[in-house]
Amino acid sequence: MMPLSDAALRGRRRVSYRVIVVAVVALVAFVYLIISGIRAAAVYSVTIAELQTMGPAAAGKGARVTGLLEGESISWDAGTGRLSFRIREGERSLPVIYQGTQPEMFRDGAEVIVEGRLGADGTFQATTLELKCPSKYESGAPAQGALPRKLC
Amino acid sequence: MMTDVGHTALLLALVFSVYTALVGPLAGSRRRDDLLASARHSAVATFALASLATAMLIVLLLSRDYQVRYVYQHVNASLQPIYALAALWAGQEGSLLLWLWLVALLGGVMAWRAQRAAWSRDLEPYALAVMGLMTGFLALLLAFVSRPFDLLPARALDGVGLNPLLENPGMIYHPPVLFLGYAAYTVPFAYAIAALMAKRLDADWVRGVRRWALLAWGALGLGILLGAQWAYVELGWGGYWAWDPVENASLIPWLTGTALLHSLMIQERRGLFKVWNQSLIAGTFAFCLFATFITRSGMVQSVHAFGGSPIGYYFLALIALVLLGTLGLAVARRSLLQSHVEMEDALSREGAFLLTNLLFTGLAVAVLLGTVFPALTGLLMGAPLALGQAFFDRVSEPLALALIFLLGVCPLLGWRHAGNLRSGLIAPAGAVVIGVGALVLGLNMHQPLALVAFGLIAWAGGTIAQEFVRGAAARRQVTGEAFWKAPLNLVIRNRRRYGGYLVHLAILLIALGVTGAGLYKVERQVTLRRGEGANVGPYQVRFEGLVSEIAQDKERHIATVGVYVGNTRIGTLRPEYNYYVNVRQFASEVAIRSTLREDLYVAVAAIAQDGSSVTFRVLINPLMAWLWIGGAVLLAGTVVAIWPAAPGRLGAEAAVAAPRRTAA
Repeated sequence: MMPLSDAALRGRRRVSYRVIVVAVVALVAFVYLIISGIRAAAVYSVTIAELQTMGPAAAGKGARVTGLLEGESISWDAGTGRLSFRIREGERSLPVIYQGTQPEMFRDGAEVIVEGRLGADGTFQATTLELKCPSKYESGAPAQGALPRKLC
Repeated sequence: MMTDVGHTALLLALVFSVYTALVGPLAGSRRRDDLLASARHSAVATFALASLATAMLIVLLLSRDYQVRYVYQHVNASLQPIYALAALWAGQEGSLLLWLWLVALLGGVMAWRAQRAAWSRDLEPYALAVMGLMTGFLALLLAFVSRPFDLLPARALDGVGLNPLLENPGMIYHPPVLFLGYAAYTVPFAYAIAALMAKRLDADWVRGVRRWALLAWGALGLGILLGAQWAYVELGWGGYWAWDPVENASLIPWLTGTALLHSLMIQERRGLFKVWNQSLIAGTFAFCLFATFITRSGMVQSVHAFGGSPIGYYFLALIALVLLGTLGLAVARRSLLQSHVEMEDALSREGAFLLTNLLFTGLAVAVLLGTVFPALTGLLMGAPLALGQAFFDRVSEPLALALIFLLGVCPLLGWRHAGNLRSGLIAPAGAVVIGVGALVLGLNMHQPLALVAFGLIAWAGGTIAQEFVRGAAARRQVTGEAFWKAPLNLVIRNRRRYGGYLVHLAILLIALGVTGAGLYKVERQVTLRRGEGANVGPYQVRFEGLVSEIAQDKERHIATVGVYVGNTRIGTLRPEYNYYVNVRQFASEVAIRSTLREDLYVAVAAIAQDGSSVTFRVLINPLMAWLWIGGAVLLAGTVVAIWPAAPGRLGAEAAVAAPRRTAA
């Protein structure tokens, strides 16, 4: 091989290493970011039964629970801004307290997703409260993006 | 009758699609012009039939024929005609039909403007075939699985109607624009497959596909922004983005599509990243399909409603076909996909573009991971782990900041080598000092993250401004144009380049709004009796009255809220809280006082039984308006960049592209 092309080859390699180093550093930083993000934000998704069976062990642990809203249990105190209600799944029912107002379409039979912690008294202290649309609309399940965010 | 016409049109569209898909490759491999003409006619016929089917469904919706199941489910007597039309994309069957129509339209356009360029002649037969496969897939679903023209056993007296939350202008323009984005990504994919099939993997097809990739990207981005704006004005929680799986599903292809726009330029200019571009195109198209799969299969729990519809699995099968097909073809053509040059310096424009690509792809991977995480952990560990919004915020913030930094660096770097970097740094650095100073002194914002974010935005804005000023000055020197005319002509004569800068500017404006509203949002919930007021930030809001009235399908409750700064009344807001009788549910209408500095956002959260007091959700969202202004600039910049060059300019563009060959 001619010395010139050999030198050119070596020169090219040296620079490629720089590109690779940048890429590797970026990758490591990215993986770290993902892992730390998961550590900070992961919560267990459990059923009401699972949550209650865990009993005292579950108290204070973060969890996401889904259930059907019991219409008569809804009560909202305008003074303290506290919303309380019960959600049901099969035979099990879970009392929930949430600081804030009811979202739109909050009514009997609505499918509720709450995130928060189970208190020592068996009441779930929700930090987020979201609704799935009532099954009535599922037959006409809308296109992705066709329904407004945060609701249906 | 009309349902029969519609259904038959769908069956025929399926037949013509299959014909196009079969004849196209034949025309390509045998170089038969008569077969190519036949494939073109077939593509146009597919479009005509898809249009006929769509028109039938629209007529049925507008005439409110409640014997048709789709009409019964999505329309009722009290619905305004414009929303009866919008019901076309309110349900699964209708939105699939809209998708079919859009893909057929683009296939028709492809066939219509038969190009004379050699690369186009070689690629067109195969590209038409891929478009035919896609329209065929959608027509198959519409004809047999998710049928819009099915009848009910008897004619109902009235329909179920549209969810009142959908009766908002957002419903009219958000879904079609988003679907245009999804549909338009079929075209770059079709050309990519065609390039592999026809063994034409040079830079020509990349130049041809660029405009389509831009159209799809612009439509998808605009669709996402329109959806965000709709959520902001309609839903009353004061935000515009919640990292919901359905939102994420539309963001992922936009992120990979953004990476694609940049790496396509590298391939065009320097012949690098060939395999990467093929992967990005296939991936972006697959993510568009995945967005539908995710919302249809019930795989991911979302606050959006999904029936466990079987069509999700048809989409999964198509995704597998797209990815495996691309992989197979790429392996078969691997010798042609090798780049003949290598990157010479990391500190060059292509180096920065590579990093941009990694960041966008990384962001897409992170959003994807967060979206499917519950399903993934449920499968692997038995107990589903959900990721809250904190995950997305935490991961996306540093990546977005790094991207803004790069956005500011790129214009300073030359192709292949850094070039004269130092002289370009002075003005942007000055912009950072001025921008951050104005922020701290003027708006009293001094959180570290805000300073970093605004500093980077000012930095990137500075380099873009510098590009404009330098370009305009150079132009004035050459042409002697007036000072206002030079920058205008600069953009008009160099649409690609300055359209791109306009888009970058739009991204910066959007970042400004996201940062301001994200870091300095003030939120209060207050219960007020008539005549009472509450202080929120610099404002005082006073509850002055409540009027109730019965409208056609709802009871309206309109609150009057006076807005004061000190003792000066600066405006009146009228948020509403409406009860929809038919569906027995409340929906609020938000009132917003928007200025360039901040939005004052008032929504009614609850009304006491006796009407004596009302609970308001009051928010101050700083810099929010810039997000929507950025959206308008985004649209303008994309249009400028897509707009075809004047005929005389074609030669000049080719001249710019010429050095690439000598470099290779």
